[in-house]
Amino acid sequence: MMNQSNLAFKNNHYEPEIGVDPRDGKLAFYYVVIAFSAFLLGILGGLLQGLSRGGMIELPSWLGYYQILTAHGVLLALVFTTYIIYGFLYAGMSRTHGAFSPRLRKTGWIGFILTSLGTGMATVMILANEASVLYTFYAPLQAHYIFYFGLVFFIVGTWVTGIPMLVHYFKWKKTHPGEPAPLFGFMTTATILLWIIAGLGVAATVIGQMIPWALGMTDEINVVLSRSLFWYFGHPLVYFWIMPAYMVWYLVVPKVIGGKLFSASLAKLAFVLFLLFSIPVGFHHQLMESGISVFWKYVQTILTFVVVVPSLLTAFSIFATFEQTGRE
Amino acid sequence: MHLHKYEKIWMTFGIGSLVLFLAVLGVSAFAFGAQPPSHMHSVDSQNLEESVFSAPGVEQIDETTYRARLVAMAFGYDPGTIEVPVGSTVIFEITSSDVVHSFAIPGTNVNLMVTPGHVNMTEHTFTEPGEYLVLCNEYCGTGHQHMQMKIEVTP
Repeated sequence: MMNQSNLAFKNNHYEPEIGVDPRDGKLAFYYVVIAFSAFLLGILGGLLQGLSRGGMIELPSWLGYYQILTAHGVLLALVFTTYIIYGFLYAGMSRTHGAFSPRLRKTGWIGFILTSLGTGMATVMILANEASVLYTFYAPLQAHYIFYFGLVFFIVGTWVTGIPMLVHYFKWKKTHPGEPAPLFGFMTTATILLWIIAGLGVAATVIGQMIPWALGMTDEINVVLSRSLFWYFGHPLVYFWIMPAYMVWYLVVPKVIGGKLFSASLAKLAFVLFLLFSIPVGFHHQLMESGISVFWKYVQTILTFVVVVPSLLTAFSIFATFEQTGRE
Repeated sequence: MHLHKYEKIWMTFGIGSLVLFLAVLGVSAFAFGAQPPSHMHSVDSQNLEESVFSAPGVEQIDETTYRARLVAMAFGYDPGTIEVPVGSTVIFEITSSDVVHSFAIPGTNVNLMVTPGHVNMTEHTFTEPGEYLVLCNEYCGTGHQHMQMKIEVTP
């Protein structure tokens, strides 16, 4: 059995066998540290919320139920996920494509600092009960303007760290003409592109609508438009969580079981489909509201369900990998 | 791109099921009218007193049909109670005077979002007498859990 899996390892050799450069590992490590700090704080919020809702404890007067619900949602759904994904992608890019250049690494750090500054601003406002608006922050519920600035720093910071990962992948392709690029880079590129495109929606509503309004420069806000822009981001957000998990299934699982991926081209197709069909799907979070016609709700429902296709491809690929390895 | 024979079968079956599912959904929505509340009228939420919502309440349209114009606000509905006889069909027209709310009658199909600046609409026929509770299921502020109204369906 051991012999067989060692043999399979040898056959699967186009991934360069290099470790994570310690300088890149440091940034990835900090991403993971913040991810789990947010996770701990977030689950504490969830625990208090559950105990209070179940009538087992009474929250002190200075701590609001919706305040800890907001902390729970933002820290787990936005902060934990984004940080752990960035740590994973950054370390993986260094592992599969070689160390980042000092300039790219510096850009990575700048993005990390911006993101963390934004996270800090939003977290402080939530803990100060100035932003108990849940992680959906639907207008016209209003939070302190520092919360909205925090969101902008968070999103823009992730874009800034995303760029060195994209550049690193395309530089590798340029310096290795004719060689198949490691799948990790292809999948990271698709994931980062999806995140940047999705982030445009939330950035547009926060910068264009919510900040002027929270600062008192405008006294009205188009609520349905802001909800549509939020969900233009909010649904692709879940694909942004899924894709790194799929990367583990496609790339890590075959290594763990000592086999090789069933088909790299199908894996790439699945990621391209995720990217394309993440864009026009947000209306399915607004099915019960006025101001959006039934026709467009149906169109976006169809496009939402197309996600079945890359999911079926992935399911087949995973089981085919297991079966193929089992027969070797 | 090479596709394994089993994969072709798997994908054909999967995509075929998807097409069938979406066709059933489309036929039920557009041929049988099973559509979600999607009313397109807008209203100036800061001047509701100058709109059809100036005097919210129930009005009778014909023998068994009533129109209920309601305003959702933090943390209640105006009016807080309405009354209709059993067997009536009520057309609900709802808007919000402040933030995003919802309007849900547990145990029925009535469940819609209420966004300021828009009017949402649905209808329901009350075939059983009794007191129906209406709840807001969209977080609307610190008193969200208290937001409710009642519909008295008299025998």
